[in-house]
Amino acid sequence: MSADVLLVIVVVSALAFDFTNGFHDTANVVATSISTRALPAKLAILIAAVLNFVGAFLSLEVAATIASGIVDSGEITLQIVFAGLVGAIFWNMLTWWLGLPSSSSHALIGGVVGAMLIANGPGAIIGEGLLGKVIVPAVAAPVLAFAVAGISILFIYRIVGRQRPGPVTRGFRLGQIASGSLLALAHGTNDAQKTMGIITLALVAHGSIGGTDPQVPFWVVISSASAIALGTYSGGWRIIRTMGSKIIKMDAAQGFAAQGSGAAVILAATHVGFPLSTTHVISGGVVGAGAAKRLSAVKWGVAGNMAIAWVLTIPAAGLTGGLAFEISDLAGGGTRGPIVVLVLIAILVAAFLRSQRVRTPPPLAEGTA
Amino acid sequence: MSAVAAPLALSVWGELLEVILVGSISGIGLAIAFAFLVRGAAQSSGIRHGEREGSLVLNLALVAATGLICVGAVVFAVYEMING
Repeated sequence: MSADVLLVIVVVSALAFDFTNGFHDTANVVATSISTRALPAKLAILIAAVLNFVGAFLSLEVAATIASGIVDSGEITLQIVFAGLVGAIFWNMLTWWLGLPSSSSHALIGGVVGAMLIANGPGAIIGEGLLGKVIVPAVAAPVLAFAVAGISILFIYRIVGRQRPGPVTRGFRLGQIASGSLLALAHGTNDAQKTMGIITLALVAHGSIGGTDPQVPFWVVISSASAIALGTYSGGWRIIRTMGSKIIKMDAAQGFAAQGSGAAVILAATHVGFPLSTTHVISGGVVGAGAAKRLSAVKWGVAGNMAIAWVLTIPAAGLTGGLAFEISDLAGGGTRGPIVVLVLIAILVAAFLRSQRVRTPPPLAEGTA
Repeated sequence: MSAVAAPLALSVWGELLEVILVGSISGIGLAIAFAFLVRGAAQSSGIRHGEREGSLVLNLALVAATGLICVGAVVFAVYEMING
């Protein structure tokens, strides 16, 4: 009975993370299309949500482990997975609140690494894996996307510069719809699988499915696909505004350069098997497409805040994941620990919402203004 | 955690170099191809409406060739997603 409750808690937490992943990453796919008016906002988000759902079914090559090659897989327990998810969800919600795009994958890895550090000490962390699979790609992705989008937009302006702007803008808007759709499909394929992997891992640990060559149950595929699609459909507007208009005011050609180059870089990385964050690639592409036209067109303060958020993702999610594990462990572990953590989170969220309500001044009564 | 200080495996740098090469060529290549597609389409539309002079056939050929490249890139992308 106790193991069943823990399984339910981990599955629900994994689906909650999946929802925040979709919610948080909507901007990667739709922000440029919305800001250049390639698509109306609601339609762009609907298409992204549907393609995220479809993408989740395209491939089921689930690694069955999370943070594989970064932490010692043999030491992962459901408590650690739960604490890691808490860290990742916390960071996703905080960066959404601040309107900053950041990597959901890195948040999950950070959460699990933090919980693992507290649970098993530094020996359970594979340093080379952390460096090679997380830190090097985190630096390389935005720089590469920046350069590719920057060079692309210079070529584009040279090729179409003397054409009438009307048909050219329409053409690049169509291109944005195609490149945005590809990104949404790739996002669903890659990110929904993380949740499928976590739930599959939980089912193996629970004994519901066999540990040797575990098959992902269909309900796991459906629920993961639905959670990420619903999250995407909910739309993280704060981040959409940052990506779409706060970094640069972009035209359709710049939007296409950022999105098309981003899609090409992500798929090149998929082809080689090198892990790159969609968020880092698209953000780098947006800044590159703006900077190539005019350096002063980029609001470097906003870009700097994004870079700070990226640097802080793993430490902050790790700290929260470690804290969640410690509290869970102090409360006795098992099923009781995660329940205590959930109750604490509910109290903190309620207190936060209450403080926000108090700070909001009441509307002026009619006639008094 | 001491392994953090260890030199990164050569394979990581090899993969990174491959991503840089493949990503740059495909990203910039796709942008150039699509820009020519847009240019060809804009010019053929202008010729058809009598707003500009030039060879309609040549421009349509440009649209067809670059269109094929772009469609091929999308098909390859979906194939990569499925078979990754």
